[in-house]
Amino acid sequence: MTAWLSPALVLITGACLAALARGRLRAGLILLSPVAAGVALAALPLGTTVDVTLFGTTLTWLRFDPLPRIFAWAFLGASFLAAIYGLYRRSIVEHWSALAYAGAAVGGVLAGDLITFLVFWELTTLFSAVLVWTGGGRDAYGASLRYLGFQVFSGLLLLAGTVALAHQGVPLGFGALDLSQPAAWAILAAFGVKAAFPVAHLWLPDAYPEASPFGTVVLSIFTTKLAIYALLRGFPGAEPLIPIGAPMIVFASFYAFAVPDLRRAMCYGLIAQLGIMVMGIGIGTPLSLNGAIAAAVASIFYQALVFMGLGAVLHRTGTARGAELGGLFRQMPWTALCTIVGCVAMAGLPLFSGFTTKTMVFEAAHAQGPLWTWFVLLFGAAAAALYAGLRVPLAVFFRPPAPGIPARPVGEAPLAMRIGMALAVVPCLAIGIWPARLYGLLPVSLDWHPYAFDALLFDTALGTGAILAFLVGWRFRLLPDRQCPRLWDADWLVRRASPVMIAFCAGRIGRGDRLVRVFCLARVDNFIVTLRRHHGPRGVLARTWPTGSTVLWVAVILTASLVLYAV
Amino acid sequence: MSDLVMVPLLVGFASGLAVIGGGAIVARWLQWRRERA
Repeated sequence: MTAWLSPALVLITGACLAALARGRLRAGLILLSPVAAGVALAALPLGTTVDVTLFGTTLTWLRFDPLPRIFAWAFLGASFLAAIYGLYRRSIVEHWSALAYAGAAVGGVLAGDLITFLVFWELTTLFSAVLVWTGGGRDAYGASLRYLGFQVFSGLLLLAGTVALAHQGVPLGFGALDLSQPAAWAILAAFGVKAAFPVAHLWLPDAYPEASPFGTVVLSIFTTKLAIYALLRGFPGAEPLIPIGAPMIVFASFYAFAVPDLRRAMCYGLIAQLGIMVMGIGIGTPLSLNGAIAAAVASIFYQALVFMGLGAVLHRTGTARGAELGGLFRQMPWTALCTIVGCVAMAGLPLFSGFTTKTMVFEAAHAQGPLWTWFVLLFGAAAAALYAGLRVPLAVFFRPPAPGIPARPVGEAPLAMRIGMALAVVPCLAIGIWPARLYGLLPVSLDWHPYAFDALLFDTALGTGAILAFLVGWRFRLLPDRQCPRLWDADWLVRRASPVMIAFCAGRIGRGDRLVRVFCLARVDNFIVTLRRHHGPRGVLARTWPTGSTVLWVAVILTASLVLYAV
Repeated sequence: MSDLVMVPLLVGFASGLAVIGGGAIVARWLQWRRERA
């Protein structure tokens, strides 16, 4: 009976109750919902399956095995931290959508069949779009619509793939899919949109920075990690994922280092981290799959922490542009320390969560080959040391503000933000220092020691090389923050080229439309003139005829009638 | 041992230079285009 009490339902119910409550009760419900969902999750025995029959179809509403277990715990933990962090916001719409979004994501990872998964997939779309929309302003509204467009497209692809599989008689249990079927490619594309595959990634750096600081934190936790879960479930070892993940790492690393808005830059950083996971899934060995899972879990926390810190800076200073910030360490020491922990965890420094998780994927790539995948992953690691480990801390907290930028007398972040950040530091350090607990939750038991001497030496040398490159860039004034204007990505297609194309097409269509209308109106005018000529006040048929002529014509017509009758 | 140090050191350095240099080139080009306009 308790198996029915899915953590997803608990979260969504908690969201609805919080929406009805006021004041401290609301805050209590917002915090209690993830805790209650955690209790419900802890009560689920491993291997639990709950089936329901709906319209003659048996759906696996809940399937609890090691893979959803680790994701569900990570989602619940992160949603609790985000809920604390977000208590500074009074908007109930944001809190409601954040909790419901968490519920939908947890429901997604616990779903045992594609139809149930599709329902939760769409629910995450709905609730997350609300979060973007509540960022406020015209930009957030536009971004939320573009975001919704991408996500709905993803849902449609998943629906089409699921229907096609059902039509072929393939069982709809959510397991590994065979890419020899076209329907599986549609499902892969659907997952790819949410996992920010190249070109399909546009929605991420477009929408996430437009949300509020709280909204961005929540958004960074669920959608992309749900997609990584889906790829792990549906396409473990799918080789096309390797060439898809590699460009994610490379191009996103460039942008993460150069984009002026640091929250947007960290969105690119998130894409690069996702690329590592996607490559890990594509490599498909037990070590790489474990690495992808562990990296996803670690990324949930360190990415949230980085966005928490940058959100706190944005909240206090009103900007997240690197060129307009600097020297905030003294004014926001708590925020600075927490953000730096998130950044170095993302950079993969030893003793932090990025190191103990991503190195599994690196080692798997090295062992499994081809060699270029290993080099791409090392490039990603070195780039992360630059854009996360060095750029963000220096630009925000240590470097003095640029000349002409007024010093900002700002205070420390609000208490709720500080507590949320401090608690988010815990998993980033715990996974880094005591990774065995996380490794014990992974689906495949492996003997993996991240702190082997060789691995430590290798990682230290890699980071040192990246730091040397940074110093060279510093010496020759190549670093981007002081000079880089708006940097377009492929979003140029959506935001610049599309309007021009639409205007061009609209012009051509308008001209064609005008020609057709002029032609048709001319024909109608001619018809009216002809009618008027015959039937108008002075028309031939409207004239008053003399009585003699009328009698003559009547006689002629009668005669003709008689003749016709006689014949 | 030397491979364990030199290979990652060089890879890290080259990757870092590529990221910084690539970003700098794009930024300079955008700046130049803006000034010309």
